[in-house]
Amino acid sequence: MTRSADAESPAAIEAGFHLKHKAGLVDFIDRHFKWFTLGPAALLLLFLTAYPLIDLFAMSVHTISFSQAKEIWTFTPLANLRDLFSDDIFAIALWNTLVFAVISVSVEMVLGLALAILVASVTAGKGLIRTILIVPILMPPVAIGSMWKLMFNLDFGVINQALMVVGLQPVDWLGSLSVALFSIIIVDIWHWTPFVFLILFAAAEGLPKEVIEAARIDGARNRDLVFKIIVPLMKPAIAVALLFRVILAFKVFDEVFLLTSGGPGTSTEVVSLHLYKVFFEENQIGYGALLSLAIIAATIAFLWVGQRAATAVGRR
Amino acid sequence: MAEVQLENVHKRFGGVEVIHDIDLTIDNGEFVVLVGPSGCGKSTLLRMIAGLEAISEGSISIGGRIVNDLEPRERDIAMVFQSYALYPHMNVAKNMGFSMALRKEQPGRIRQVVEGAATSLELMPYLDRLPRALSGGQRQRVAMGRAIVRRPKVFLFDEPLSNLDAQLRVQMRTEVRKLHQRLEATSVYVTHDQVEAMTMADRIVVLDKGRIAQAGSPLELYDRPANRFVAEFIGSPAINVFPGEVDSGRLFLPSEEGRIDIGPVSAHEKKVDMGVRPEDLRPVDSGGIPGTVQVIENLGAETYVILSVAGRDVCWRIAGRPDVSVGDRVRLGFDLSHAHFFNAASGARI
Amino acid sequence: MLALRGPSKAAAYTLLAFGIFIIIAPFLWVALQSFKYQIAILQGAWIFPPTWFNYLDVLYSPRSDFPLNLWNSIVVATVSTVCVLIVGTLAAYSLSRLSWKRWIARGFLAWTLIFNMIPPLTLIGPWYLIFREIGLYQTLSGLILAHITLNLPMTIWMMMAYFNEIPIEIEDAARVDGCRRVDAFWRISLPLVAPGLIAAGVLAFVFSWNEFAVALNLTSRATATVPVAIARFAQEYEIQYGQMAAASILSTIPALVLMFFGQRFVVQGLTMGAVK
Repeated sequence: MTRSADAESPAAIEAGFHLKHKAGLVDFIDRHFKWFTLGPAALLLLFLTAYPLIDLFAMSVHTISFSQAKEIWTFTPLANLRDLFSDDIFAIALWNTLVFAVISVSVEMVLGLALAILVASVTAGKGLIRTILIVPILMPPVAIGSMWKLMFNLDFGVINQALMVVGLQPVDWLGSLSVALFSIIIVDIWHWTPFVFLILFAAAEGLPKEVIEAARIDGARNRDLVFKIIVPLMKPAIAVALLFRVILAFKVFDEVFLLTSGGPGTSTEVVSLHLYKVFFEENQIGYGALLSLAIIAATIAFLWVGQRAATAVGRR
Repeated sequence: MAEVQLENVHKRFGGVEVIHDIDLTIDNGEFVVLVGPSGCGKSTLLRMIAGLEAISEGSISIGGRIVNDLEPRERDIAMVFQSYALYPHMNVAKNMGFSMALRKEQPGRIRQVVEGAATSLELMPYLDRLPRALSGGQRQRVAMGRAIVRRPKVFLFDEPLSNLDAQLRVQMRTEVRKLHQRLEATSVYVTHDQVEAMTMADRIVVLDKGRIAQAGSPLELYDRPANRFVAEFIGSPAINVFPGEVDSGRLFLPSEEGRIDIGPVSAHEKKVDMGVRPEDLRPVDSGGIPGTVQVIENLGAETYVILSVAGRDVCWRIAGRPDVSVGDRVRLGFDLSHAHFFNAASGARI
Repeated sequence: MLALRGPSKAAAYTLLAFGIFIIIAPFLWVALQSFKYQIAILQGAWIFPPTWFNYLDVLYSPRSDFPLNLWNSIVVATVSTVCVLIVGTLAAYSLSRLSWKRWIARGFLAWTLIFNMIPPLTLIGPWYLIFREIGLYQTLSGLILAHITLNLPMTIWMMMAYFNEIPIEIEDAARVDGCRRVDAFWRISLPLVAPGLIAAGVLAFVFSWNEFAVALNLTSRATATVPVAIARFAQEYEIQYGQMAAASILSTIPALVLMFFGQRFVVQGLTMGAVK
């Protein structure tokens, strides 16, 4: 039934009220809108995350090789497991990644917080400063790696040049066993402190101004303000920044690949890099799958532990 | 026919029942106000009529048609929300014409109807403005305009005036009432303000914790409240309630002077609450109830005198300015036929 | 926030200036190198004859794939961004506004969270095999699919935050006015989250453009993207420092452009996504 042209007439009003029907397709979509909207995402995740995960389990107990572009699967669960437990480099990679993550994230959190509070206290130019500070986050990490590779160069790199100008000895940043991991950490700090800054700066700007003014009137000096008022109020944002940074730190790959490729020796071998080498340099796809599962399990376990710790701390 | 009928309506959220067995008929063209304190279920009931909440049990019909399973858009209703809920990204004209645009009506027709409604609401100069460029009162009128354009069977109002300042609210009350008279549409109006209810309604439905405490015309509710809840809810300032005891067919009230004999009352109960409206009290030289003046509130045309009687506050309302001062002892009398008696335990009228 | 007077003000501004210097200096120095011939670079010379050679070599030399890489990056980033916005926004609306059982919605979101945390390289193995089987290995389409999947969690979380901001009463009004679910989404909800779309789009584009680990392994010479190209410069036996510098600077241009035009959205997106 459709509305009569003269909607004023009592007959038209009495005749009832119905929407004109659109093409049947749109109505069909509307009836199943729930499925149409979530479906594509669900399918994509199913196809490219859930199925591969199941695939990993299957792959992890085989050795896979290629002969004339055909895959050959050999059932070798024990051999793969043995590889995992005798994989010294993996253990080293775990350790390196842990050291790297702990040091980088700690320094970034402190620097980021300091910068956030400082920029929030500046009277003019906040916007411009923020614009400049967040450029590193947007750059391709590989480009960052390549830039710092140039800067770290033993012979002509600007860092060594600066050192020589003040009379110090040049350092083999990327080639020295003891220094290499430290260099990676420096690059990561340069790359990600702006990210911490961004989140904490937004939080700092969102703090209630009256609370801080009240504290000032009560006699708080800058030092008190920071430690007794500002930082405690920013705890939620700090937690978020910390969580994000830690998750990202464990995934690090691009810069390490470019700067040192794990070397010298294995001093900068990180988990993702080791995985890459197992897959694509040693072509051990089966073992690589087992390694992947181990890493995924470790990540989830770490998350679970971290969440418990966070709620425990939060309750205090 | 745009009659709204609710039969045995229940509503449960999880395991909690918030609306218990409501039976209500709203006649064609009637302006019914659902009123009650927060949490009484009035908004939930309105949303069930609209179709925004599902019904747990019972049935709701509009115009003789059971609408339990119909979507809001299929019920031929229009709703004005407390926050107006105007579409922020559309101007006034598009907001008001949206429902017609959805039905693919001709643009010329849409413009005609929108301008008609806009003219009656004095919104013509604002047709191109976005909601954020309008004042509260203007947004309110756009919300009403949007409902008018629909020409629905039933108008639903969910506390539409609550967000306006006091003066505007009084003005808009009259506007809404005039609109209703002109359109002759069935209206269901929800508010927590009993003054709005009294001034606007053909019939008031007072809700208490998901049940109907009383339904009737404003004066019915005022003159003969069916229970203490309604008596205390309707009327401003609120009715004075005195707890008393019945002994040998007479009601006694406690006071500093011991028990006062109020008069004969036919009740089976021992404990009875007596309610007397502030304007039914008058000062007497002897007899009555003694009290001490605590606060005097001058409103110009009338005065509220708050007295302390046996430890409770009692409000006495008198036209003009009485010759009393704070601390005076006054004796208050009243006509027994203007008093209301309620069972102290159940609150029901005796 | 803090009251900066006298010495503390000087200290604060010095610290800030130092911070800004640290951020900008690498760009400036590398840009400087990009205008030098190899010899001048190796000598660490500060006074040198400037040249465009490195840029020309990177962009126009017959043996350089950089223009092709640039094109690949543009295609992959653009297409994957458009797709992830469509898929992600629909999913976000679904989870935010349509009635799903709690365990379904929670489970879905939890899954996206877990997936976001594991290193992408853990899935590279299966992806390699899957893409080989369906013939997408070393194609741009394969990489696009991978990027859509990688960016999906962040897009969904962000768009959900924006959808949740729309007051329910507006959607109620739409339902009463005659909107079906499709109409409510298309005419009311979607226009109101336009800023969110821009923020999510900008971030998805940047992440896709910058993505390296997956692109490295799922592309060939013909389908390599800019980050892969940069890595190749750095891996050669005889490193061409000048070209490396030039390529790095070139790859930074999208980031700088975004800063100029989209800064507001980038910041909003990153902080919105973080505050959840």
